[in-house]
Amino acid sequence: MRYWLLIGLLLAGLTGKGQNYTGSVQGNFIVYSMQSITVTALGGVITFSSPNDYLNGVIANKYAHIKVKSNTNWLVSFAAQSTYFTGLSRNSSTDMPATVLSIRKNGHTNFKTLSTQGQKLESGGKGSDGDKHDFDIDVNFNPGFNYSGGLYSIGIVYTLTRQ
Amino acid sequence: MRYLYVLALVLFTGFYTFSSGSAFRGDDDNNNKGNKKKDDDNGDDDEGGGGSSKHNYMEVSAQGPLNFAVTQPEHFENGLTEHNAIKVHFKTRNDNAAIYAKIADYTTPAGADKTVVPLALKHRQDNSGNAYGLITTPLQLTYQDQRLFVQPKANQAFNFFYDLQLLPPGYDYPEGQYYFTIMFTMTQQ
Repeated sequence: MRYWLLIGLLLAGLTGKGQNYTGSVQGNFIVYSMQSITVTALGGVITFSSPNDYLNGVIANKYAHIKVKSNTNWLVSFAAQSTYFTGLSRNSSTDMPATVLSIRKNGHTNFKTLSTQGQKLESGGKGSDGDKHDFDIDVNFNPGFNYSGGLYSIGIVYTLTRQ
Repeated sequence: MRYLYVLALVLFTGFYTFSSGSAFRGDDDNNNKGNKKKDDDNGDDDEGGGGSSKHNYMEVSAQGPLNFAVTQPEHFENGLTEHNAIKVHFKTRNDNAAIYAKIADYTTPAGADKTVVPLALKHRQDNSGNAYGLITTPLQLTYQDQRLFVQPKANQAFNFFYDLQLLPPGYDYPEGQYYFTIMFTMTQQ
């Protein structure tokens, strides 16, 4: 009798439910190194309208917005595109140097004088959150009384590099 | 002495029956990545004498390369999708069956977080009119089985198609190559 009981249990085990069938697929994804910088102008033409503007210069806070996206450590630098400003109006001076303009990250104290040599503006780690990746810049334009009145322009290049 | 023989036979057989469920899957993990397991597909070997051939089986196949290249900011921020990427083909004549999916293997570059896998299955279409418990929203895969649906037993084969989504990885993912294996399990109930 015990034999039959055991054999019965054995058969029940073999024919019982709970059968499993499996199958699988494989794949991959590649995350490439990626750096992206977006510069958005927030301010327009900086106007000198009083003697005090010529005497002390004009600070334009939040003149531009910079957004960095990077999955590696990064550094943003800035440099003037040319040694001198380009005069856009008649009788404007041709010798106003880039150095009359200086730049800082909004919220910082010290400005850095613009030149054709790249200078560090900000650096950060990978990711996209926080003020390091998303910030405004201020400009200080201080030409003094040495140049003719007129409309001037200069290009500023912001460069994002991985560290 | 005969009792001992019978007892040994029962114990041995009992272990074998149990292992056809769980240990068997472990074996598939290690040796059959990316391939259909023949024993699983035709169902013959697991019938246990209770059914005939091709009545209970499951086949899983990729409808194309399951490769994603994350190169653009929108890829990092919105993710990527392979539509109708995976086909789950099965038949369950003998019993109702639940279909599960999980990550069986995930290899990352150094420094990456291995605990969370940025992959999800999204049900796309099927030819079953009576499956229930069907998850139709994107289901992020984990290392544990998650039930996709239950199919009542039927004397026909079914096809379920799934999109494979790479969820937005963000910018914290280290660059490099990530490999994954998705395992589907059909458990008859």
